[in-house]
Amino acid sequence: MLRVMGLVMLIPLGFLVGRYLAKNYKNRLFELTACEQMLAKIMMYIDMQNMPTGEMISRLASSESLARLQFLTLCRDRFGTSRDFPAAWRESLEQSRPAMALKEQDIAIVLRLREVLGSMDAAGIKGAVSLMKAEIAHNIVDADEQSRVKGALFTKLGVLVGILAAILLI
Amino acid sequence: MDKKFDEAVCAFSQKISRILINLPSEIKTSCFEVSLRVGKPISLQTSKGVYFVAIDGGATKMPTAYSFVCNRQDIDDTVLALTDFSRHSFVDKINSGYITVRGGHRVGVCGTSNYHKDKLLAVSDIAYINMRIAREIKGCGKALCEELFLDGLHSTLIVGSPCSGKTTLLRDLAYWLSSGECGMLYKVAIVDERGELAAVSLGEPRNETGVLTDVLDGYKKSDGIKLAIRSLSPQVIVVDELGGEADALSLKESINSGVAVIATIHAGSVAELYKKEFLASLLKNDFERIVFIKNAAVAEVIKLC
Repeated sequence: MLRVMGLVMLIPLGFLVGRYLAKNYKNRLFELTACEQMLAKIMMYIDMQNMPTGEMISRLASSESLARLQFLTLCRDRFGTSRDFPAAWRESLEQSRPAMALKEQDIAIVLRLREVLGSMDAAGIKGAVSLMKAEIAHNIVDADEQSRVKGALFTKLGVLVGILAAILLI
Repeated sequence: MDKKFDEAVCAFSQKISRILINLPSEIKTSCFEVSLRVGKPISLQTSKGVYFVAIDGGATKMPTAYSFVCNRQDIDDTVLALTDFSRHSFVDKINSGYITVRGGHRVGVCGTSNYHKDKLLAVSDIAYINMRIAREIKGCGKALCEELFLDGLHSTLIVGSPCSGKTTLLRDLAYWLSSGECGMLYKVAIVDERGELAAVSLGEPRNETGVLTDVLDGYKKSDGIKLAIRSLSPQVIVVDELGGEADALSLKESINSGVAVIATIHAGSVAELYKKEFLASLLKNDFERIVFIKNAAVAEVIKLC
């Protein structure tokens, strides 16, 4: 009886493993959406208030809707002590990278912000941020597609592997 | 160790501020200007003459092979640091030729100008940076304050050539007028267009300003004077560096409203002062005292009426 129950449990286990693998795709989508939102906020801060970089990063870091982007908090703390924005931005992204679902190409776009913020006038920043936003939007479409296709695939595969394992062990 | 010097040069890029902080303390104490020029050694204007900064943190009277020469990157990094990595927030200030950094130190900047239909759009390739270290010399205006104002308030013009100590004296006068420490307690409004008088940071003056002083930080002189008269009911308005017709008209309005004015202006002599057309009417009818400053000391006080 116990053996049968163990074998049956393999099916939900496979499902959970599949869901876990699929979650990574969903997380990338969420993080990219947060990045897009962050860029939109930067445009707004520049447009409406010509806000200094330090204050901008501080506001972004305390924004609840951007809580997924942990590098913002790290950057705020680093910039507060080092007063070197490009280094603070790069180091913060590098440090939070292992815990994030963003891919190499996504990180490369966000990383470019260190050369943009603070070193150009308002029009220059808005132009560069618009371009980055368009690139992120393109990656969001790709991430959404992958999340739907591969996410479902991994969940189904997980269940199938669970059933197969149960059959093989009977 | 000279706190004001260290505070001022910390606004430069990390590389340059590290070298300047290591300078001998006697140079730091006597230094009142630091100049950075692309492709040229860093120079210091001190009360003992010009010095050039060496790579090892020393200073020499003449440039040598060991002098620290600023390259393009050093200047760019310094501009970024001076603007707190927020150049977009400083475009107007850069266009007007100066940035005031924490502590009230004024940094003059210039490079290549870009005009469109007689309007300065932007300054690119900044290549020259000149920082004036704002030193607070407490007590330097006390004796003058007693001489000028013990019998009541008089509109006063402080005159001197650049770097003669006008702003330092004006700052101290404003303090003595509203501190109550030498028998005077007036309501003072400081219109601090360039942020050099009160050195406001995060809304709080970093320099001593007296107990009855209001600081209008960053306001244009003409706007600030009008606003102060209308809403702050000051007895004295303090402004630095009069520059043209608009400033003169605002001062006239203030004096005609019963509010005394203490102002500074650049001029090396009486003749130079009277050549400034926009001041003619003020000198004739409104200012009651003129104080001439030379080498950071009061050279002459003229009573006009």
